[in-house]
Amino acid sequence: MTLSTLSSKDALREPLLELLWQQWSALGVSGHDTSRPQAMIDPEALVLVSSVFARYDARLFDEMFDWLRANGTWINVQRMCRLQKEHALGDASILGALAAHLTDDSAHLKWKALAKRPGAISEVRPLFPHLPVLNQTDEKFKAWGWLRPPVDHRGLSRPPRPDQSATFILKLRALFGRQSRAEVLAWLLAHESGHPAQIARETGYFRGSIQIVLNELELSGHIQATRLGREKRFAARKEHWRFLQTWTNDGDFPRWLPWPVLFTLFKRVHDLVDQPAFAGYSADLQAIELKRVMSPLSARLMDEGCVTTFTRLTGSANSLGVILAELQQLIRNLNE
Amino acid sequence: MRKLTAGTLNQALGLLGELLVARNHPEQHFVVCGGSSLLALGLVQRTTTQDVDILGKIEANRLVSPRPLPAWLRQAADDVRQQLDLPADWLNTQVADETLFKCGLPEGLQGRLTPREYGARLLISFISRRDQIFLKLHAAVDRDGGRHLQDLVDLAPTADELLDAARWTRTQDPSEGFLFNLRALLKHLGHDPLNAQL
Repeated sequence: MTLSTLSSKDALREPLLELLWQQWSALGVSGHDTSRPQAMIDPEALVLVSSVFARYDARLFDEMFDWLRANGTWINVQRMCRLQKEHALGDASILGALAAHLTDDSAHLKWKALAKRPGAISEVRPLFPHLPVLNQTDEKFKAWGWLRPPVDHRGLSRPPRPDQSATFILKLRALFGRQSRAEVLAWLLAHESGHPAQIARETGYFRGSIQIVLNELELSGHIQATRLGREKRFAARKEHWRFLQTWTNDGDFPRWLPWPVLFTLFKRVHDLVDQPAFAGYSADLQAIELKRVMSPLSARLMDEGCVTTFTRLTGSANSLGVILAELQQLIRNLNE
Repeated sequence: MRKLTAGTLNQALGLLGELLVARNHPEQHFVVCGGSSLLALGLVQRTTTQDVDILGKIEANRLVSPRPLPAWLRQAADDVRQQLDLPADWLNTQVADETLFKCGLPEGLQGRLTPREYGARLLISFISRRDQIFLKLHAAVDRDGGRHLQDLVDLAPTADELLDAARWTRTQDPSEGFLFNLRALLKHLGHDPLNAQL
């Protein structure tokens, strides 16, 4: 496949925006996509990555905003802050502007953690870089350094539907609350077994708190623990949890994907190819810089089970075109 | 894994130079000898080499030891290695023995360099044929001939050049054992009469 360097960022952005539309639509935003993603959505990772990429589709951005106003209480803000810090994923100033709006509603006071006063704004930029900025602008976004038209809340978003595998984490939050046990159970049902450090790392929580939750869940009799040497491994008795499978498209529990790592990978590649200097690099230098950005994340994704794709992506002598084509295909496959 | 040809050498150094600019590393000016220098200047018929031997670096217009290479440069060289499938340690300072700098490089070496730019931040200066003869003669005696002797033969030094080179090698190693081997090598090269002038 041949991709001109100038279109590299678009080559990545387009399938990524399509993926974001699919995930937000599954969560309940209005219109656009009718296909149903299969893998579990990570709501916090989705908000973080959308704060970066939804800028390139004003409609997606405003539908996300609309959904957050109606359903933002489903977001675990503490976990989102932790993921943001760990992965450097998400645009803090856009999240700040969103939070500044959301905290107008007392139901969303937890978002205040993201709405602390912005630092000195050196320049005010258009939020939607492909659209002209007209006369009126939203003051809260402007305070965070972004120019956009006043926010128009259509109120068309719906709550997440519990009969889809993609919204499994939100179903579990509805049952167990917005604490780590929703993710822990979702992770256990998607895997054969795991140890606390692994589950903590992949769910975005601290090991100590996950250890406590796992020990408590074990007492229920629906989670079992086995000791292998010094390591204690936990597994869900899946037959006990079949009642949760209220969707009809698949007979198994949905796949757990390391969305924060995947989204971070896409963002880093996008940031690299978006640099003006990148287009002037030789093909070899482009490949080197892409691999430099991708290698640590690819290694982590392989650790977390995404093996086949990333052995191809990190091989030697891959060109920009090959890597971008592989990433495009990966993004398209993620929801299958 | 590819050996370095003249083309690959140019590609590898060009890519390294490009990396220095892209990663905002400081400018580097290295002095290179050995097979890569012979290839770059077309001094011998040989078509490949294993590595790029960094003899020194130029700092404030002075030739100084290149050791140790900074970690960021080793990382950049390794990125080039992976991308172009080059031999491990393709860019190294093994030849830049401290003794060379203590005992002195051939006089006037710096003035005979042939510089080539590889981007805005990498300047490689290849040593001259005369200085190659000096270093190759020393290496051939010191390491029992081998590829260094082949390079020396390929450089086809004149008797005067060999005599100057032989005298210089004695400043590097004044031992009797080295002299014995040097005499044997000159004789083998058909220049036995030079031994009387050492």
